[in-house]
Amino acid sequence: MSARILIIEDEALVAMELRFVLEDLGYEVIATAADAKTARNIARENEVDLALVDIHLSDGPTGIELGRELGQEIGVTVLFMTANPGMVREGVAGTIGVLSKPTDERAVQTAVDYALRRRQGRPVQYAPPELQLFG
Amino acid sequence: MTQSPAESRPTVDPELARTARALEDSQARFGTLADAMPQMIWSTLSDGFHDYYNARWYDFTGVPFGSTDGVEWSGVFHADDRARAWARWRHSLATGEPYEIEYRLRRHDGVYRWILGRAMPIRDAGGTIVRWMGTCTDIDDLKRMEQSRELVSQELSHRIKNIFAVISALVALSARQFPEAKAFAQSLRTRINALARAHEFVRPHTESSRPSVGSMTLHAFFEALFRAYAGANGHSRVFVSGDDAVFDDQSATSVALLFHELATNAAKYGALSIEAGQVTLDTRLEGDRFLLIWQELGGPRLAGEPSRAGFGSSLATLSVESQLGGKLERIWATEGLIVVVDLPATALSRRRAAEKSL
Repeated sequence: MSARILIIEDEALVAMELRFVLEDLGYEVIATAADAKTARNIARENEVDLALVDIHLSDGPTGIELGRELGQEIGVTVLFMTANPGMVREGVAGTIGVLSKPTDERAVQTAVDYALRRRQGRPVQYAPPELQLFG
Repeated sequence: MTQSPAESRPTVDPELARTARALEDSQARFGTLADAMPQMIWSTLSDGFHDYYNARWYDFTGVPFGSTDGVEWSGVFHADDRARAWARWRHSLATGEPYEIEYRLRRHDGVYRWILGRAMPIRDAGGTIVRWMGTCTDIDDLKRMEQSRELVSQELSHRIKNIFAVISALVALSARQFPEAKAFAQSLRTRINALARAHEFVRPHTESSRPSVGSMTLHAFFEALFRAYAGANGHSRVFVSGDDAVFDDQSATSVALLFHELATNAAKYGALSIEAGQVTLDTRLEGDRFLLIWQELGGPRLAGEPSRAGFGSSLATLSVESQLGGKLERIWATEGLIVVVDLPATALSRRRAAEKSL
């Protein structure tokens, strides 16, 4: 069964392209959400393995707190994707790390693969260079 | 008819009486002038003891006449600005330097307004300070305009960043409709992404959105740009050394495109196309020139200059020569390509250089 991914991004075109990239890689994208409230509802009502979370959403810079909640309280593996990695410089509890935008398909692929391996407890060699790990 | 104080004395020296009248006359004229000014005017003794305020001061603050004499003036200052104002005032009193400071003053209706406070010393013939004359000018509207302009600038910069992301996504999405254009789309997208990345380093930032303290520089940008070319186990393959520099929005496009091209070509045909290959990038300030030297090592052996310059090479040359006003030289050494970029020292921060020379 392929991993179930939730995309949390408020630029619709960016979310759409990311969805295609992930589907091409064989993952299942269960939804995209543009704001924290929608994302929370989806995560509570569906099985989500991995969430790719932008920091700035349509309801403001709510992505950080959302990521923490998804990671710590709902048990989703969380990767931030943002052009401002400095905003999570200190790390966010319950989340894996941050991918700097703009990304390319290769960076997304290796980062997602890394995150899912950690979720499944499988061995990981190293994190892709574009992914800044927390903790 | 009223008599002046001098004339009411039983015995009077005519000279003294004339002088006394002249003084009263002069003071009356000063008072009329000072009260007619649109600004608040105040004056102190040489030790800083406030003994005069014009009518504007009392109109603005609404305080009772004489209640802010001496050192009582700080009571109408905003609490957060008092310490700073005191320190600056004490410094002027001690050194004789003109006093100038922005602070918030409480208006008669309780509202605090931003004020520019200034004062100059008056000296006697011997050069000793005998009095300070000062003004308070309401700059509140100006200050608020400054703050809102700052916000607009940040908002705009954030939107520009989003536009880059949208354009990049649009290129990728469009390419899905035209599979034969995939290579073109990839090439275009990576160039757009390089621009977006450079823009992130030069745009106005808030405290929280800034990448990190003190890293809005050329070397920090290189570090971010070349991360994508890291080796199989994550180690860096482009080694940056030498003098760092700040670059601004005017040079960001050129810097981004130049190094994107160099790295892309190295990855396709040069040192970065082989796992063991490396690049050194040394930057240095030499007098009024800034040099950037890109050297590829460990790649395929070169057989001299290629017969035809690709578009990417033209883009790099154009960026350096037209945009930045510098020179770009390529040396096709057999061990690997060497590129020397020679720029005027001000090319990377032209706006700042222009401001400095004003």
